[in-house]
Amino acid sequence: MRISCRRVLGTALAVAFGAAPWAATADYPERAVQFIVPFNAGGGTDVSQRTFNKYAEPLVGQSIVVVNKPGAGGTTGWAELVRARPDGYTLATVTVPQQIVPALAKPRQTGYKLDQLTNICVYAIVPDVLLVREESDWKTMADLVAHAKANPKKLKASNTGTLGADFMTTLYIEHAAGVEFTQVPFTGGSKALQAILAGNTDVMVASARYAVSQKGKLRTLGIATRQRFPLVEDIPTFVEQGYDVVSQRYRAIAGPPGLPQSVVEYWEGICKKVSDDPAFVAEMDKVGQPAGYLGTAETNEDVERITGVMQRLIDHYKLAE
Amino acid sequence: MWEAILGAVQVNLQWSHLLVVLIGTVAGTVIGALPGLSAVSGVALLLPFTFTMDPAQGLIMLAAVYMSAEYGGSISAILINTPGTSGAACTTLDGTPLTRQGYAQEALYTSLLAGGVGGVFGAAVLLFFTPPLAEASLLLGPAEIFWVAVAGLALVAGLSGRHTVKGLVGVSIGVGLTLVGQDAMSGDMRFTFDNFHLVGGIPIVPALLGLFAVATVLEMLERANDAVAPLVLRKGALRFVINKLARMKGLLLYTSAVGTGVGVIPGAGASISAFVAYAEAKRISKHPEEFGRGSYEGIAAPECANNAVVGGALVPLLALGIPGSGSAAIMFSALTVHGLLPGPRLFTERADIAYTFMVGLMVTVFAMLLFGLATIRWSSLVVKAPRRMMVPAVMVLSVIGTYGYANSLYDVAVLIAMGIVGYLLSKVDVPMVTVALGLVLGALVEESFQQSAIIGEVDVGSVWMYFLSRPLAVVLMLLAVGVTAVGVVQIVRMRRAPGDDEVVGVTAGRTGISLRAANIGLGVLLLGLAVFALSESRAMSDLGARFPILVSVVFIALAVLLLAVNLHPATGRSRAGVHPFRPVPWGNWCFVVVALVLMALGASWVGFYEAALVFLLVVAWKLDASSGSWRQRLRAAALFALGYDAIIYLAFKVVLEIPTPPGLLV
Repeated sequence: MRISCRRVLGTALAVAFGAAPWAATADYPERAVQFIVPFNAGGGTDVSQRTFNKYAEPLVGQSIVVVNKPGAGGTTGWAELVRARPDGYTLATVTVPQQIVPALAKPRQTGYKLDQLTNICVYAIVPDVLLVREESDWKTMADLVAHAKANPKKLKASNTGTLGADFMTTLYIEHAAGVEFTQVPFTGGSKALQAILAGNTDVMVASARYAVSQKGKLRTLGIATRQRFPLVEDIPTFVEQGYDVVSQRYRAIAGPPGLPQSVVEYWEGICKKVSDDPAFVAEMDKVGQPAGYLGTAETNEDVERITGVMQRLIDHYKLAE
Repeated sequence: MWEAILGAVQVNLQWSHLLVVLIGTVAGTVIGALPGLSAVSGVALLLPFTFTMDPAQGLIMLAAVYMSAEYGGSISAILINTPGTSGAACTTLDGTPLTRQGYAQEALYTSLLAGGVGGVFGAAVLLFFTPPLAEASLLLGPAEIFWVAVAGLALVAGLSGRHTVKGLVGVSIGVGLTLVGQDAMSGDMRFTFDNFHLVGGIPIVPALLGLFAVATVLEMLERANDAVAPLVLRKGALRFVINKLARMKGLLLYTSAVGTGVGVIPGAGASISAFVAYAEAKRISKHPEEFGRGSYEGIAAPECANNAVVGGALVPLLALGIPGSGSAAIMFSALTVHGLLPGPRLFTERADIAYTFMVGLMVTVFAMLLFGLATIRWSSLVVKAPRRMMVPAVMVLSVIGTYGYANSLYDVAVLIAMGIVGYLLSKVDVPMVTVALGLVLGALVEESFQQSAIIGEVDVGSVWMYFLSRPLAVVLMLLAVGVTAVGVVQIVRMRRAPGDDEVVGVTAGRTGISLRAANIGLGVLLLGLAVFALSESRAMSDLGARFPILVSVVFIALAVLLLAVNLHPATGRSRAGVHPFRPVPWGNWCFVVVALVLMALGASWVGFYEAALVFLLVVAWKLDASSGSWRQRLRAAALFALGYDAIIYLAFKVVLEIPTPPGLLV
């Protein structure tokens, strides 16, 4: 009896502490890799990560297991990620810029620091757009801005929660155009959409997906990319209309702090190969989350740029506690 | 249109379509019946399988899961007082009494057939009225949703029976719990204690599971009889139920309409429609006194409504691209995977798929009925399981159901905490269903009020002017006032009539604290919570502090009422002789609770299935009151633990692939 007890304890200790040195060997990965998706199963982020995994699995040669840990706009899942062992067997989907704002505005209640997330790559890029109702008189951003300047705080903008991604991009646009909307927060994209369709709000900033799906009911006045976007070629960018707003949602992959460089490079390579696969690109277009690749260096650079933008907005609108 | 429907009927009668409907129905019923796994989780679990199917087929399979999960949820609500889905919370009110009286089978037939009526109604509305209804759904903005939700909260009177004050306590505790976490309206962190888990708030599914499943099995410990309930398998039970339902045609039609209507509103789902239907059924019933004691109307109404929701929730999804519920949101994903974007263009560009799907929804109702009829006899046998097995089995199921929800130990902590709180509250007559009502409606009331306030201030200057400026909101406001008034009348009438749960003095034996002392304790607790909330609210923004202050004021009012009644010599004395905790077997109770906590903690060390095995063995052995030798009892417990753990493993790990903490062996 006593011996078996000791053996059980030994096994437990081996499992608890012995795993780290296996990481980053030449044979990586030797077993299944777990991906934390910090949003609900079946949601947009979940579907895009599962699509990515489908194309990555044959390249990796191991199964990729999605673990959904929804809560608090993704921050619960990222807090779990930075507490995971950096052995390359726990990674997560990060939706830029959603990981940035809570860490800057509510650092005490956010379970991670931005520099704890080891960014690896971006595999999908969904630009933000600004929508109004089709029957409204605003045909261009200039029309809307003129109206907003004449009626400060009178235009109502739907968003999906204060300090969320839509909220921040709306502020970004307000700041760039020198106007003030009244933001109305909703819990979830469907309620925000319902509000603008019903005329309870006037403006909505959301992902480019809506520019396609709500065509005919909602008019898209601008898209927050640098160049025109292939999915919606006819929609002018904010930049070409004279507003310096570049804001896109990235689906990125990140790991815990201290993730070995070899693991980062490994997944950067997988990411590149998957993003180059025309079948992957076609499937991501279908789910309304266009594929787009950024390597580790570019991802870090862009996250840094967006962090700077967000920090300026947070300071300007006094959003930090 | 008729041509499109006929074409769709032909497509739906193909064998391959019928097969996926059958798969979806079986999966949905089972997933719905499992505590913690709701319609949403069922649809999400089967979503990946639809990626390779033909789009209409994949959608129909998901619709079958959605439809039958709403029925499946009531199976566990009726048999073990644990709503498998939150839409079935109301069904426990009359389902459990009927089961305890030996009428489990009749209750299940009522739920199934009433659900069938609601399902057909909702599907028919979807098929014939989608475009006009979708337009109408846009009339429902925050102002209207606020008043619907307030009317929902006013139902507390109808749900709390004689214990009105305790019902109010329950509903305000429920609402209070929804305040925890980051407020979507203001961005404020409320009552989070700088803990990143609490930032996400109290998760509703684990909280409801705790309130019902864990609290119910803790209550089972009090009863001496070994089987959970007697079960009589009467011949002609089906005919008996059909006759019953035939006499409530009006009610079924009315609650179908309620369910479909609520389904159309974004954000309001099966649970709210069921609460509304239940309260309405009680209001218009000729026998309102039977409600809560095993009324067939009390089962038929919420069940009819929660299946009617399915059709309603899909109306704005198909026509506007707005999913009316969590399950509909996942079906949105399913459509987009096939390159179909729900929204105004779906009907014009891919009418074939839209019609095939809508006709298919009708088929799923019949599949649900057939599968239900074929299995009710067998599923009702669950109540014959002895207590020593039922207690650990339901607890293991709740824990794994909670993992299935978000894979988090924090959620398991919420489950256990809410189980203990719910049990203690129900001992002092706070009905658990009122806490559930507050949990479900709290966030909706707050956000719709805040949205109305923001919009109202911009548009017309104030929130009340905004309410008055919207005719439908005024109608709903009057409805909310009406519901409250009816509730008050019911309470007054019930106070006058002598009831069988009249306060009776019991003094024999070891008694523990009295109801009077417990009520005073509850009052002090509420006061303390209110003071704490008020002091915390000073650090919040005006917007974020509004509801915490409101809830604190309600807490204080209720606390004053409780303290006044119980400290007063005359009214306090009748409660001093009642000892609510007397029947609690504290030894077993503590043993089970500690074992549950150890299992949850142990799961992250040695793995979930390993910890569950030990838990099942130990609890089943401890609760075995038979006269056999300890060897025999240990063997029986071991057999049960191994068998049950294996079944759970197969179902959750192999078939559903729900991630659990990994272990030493599996």
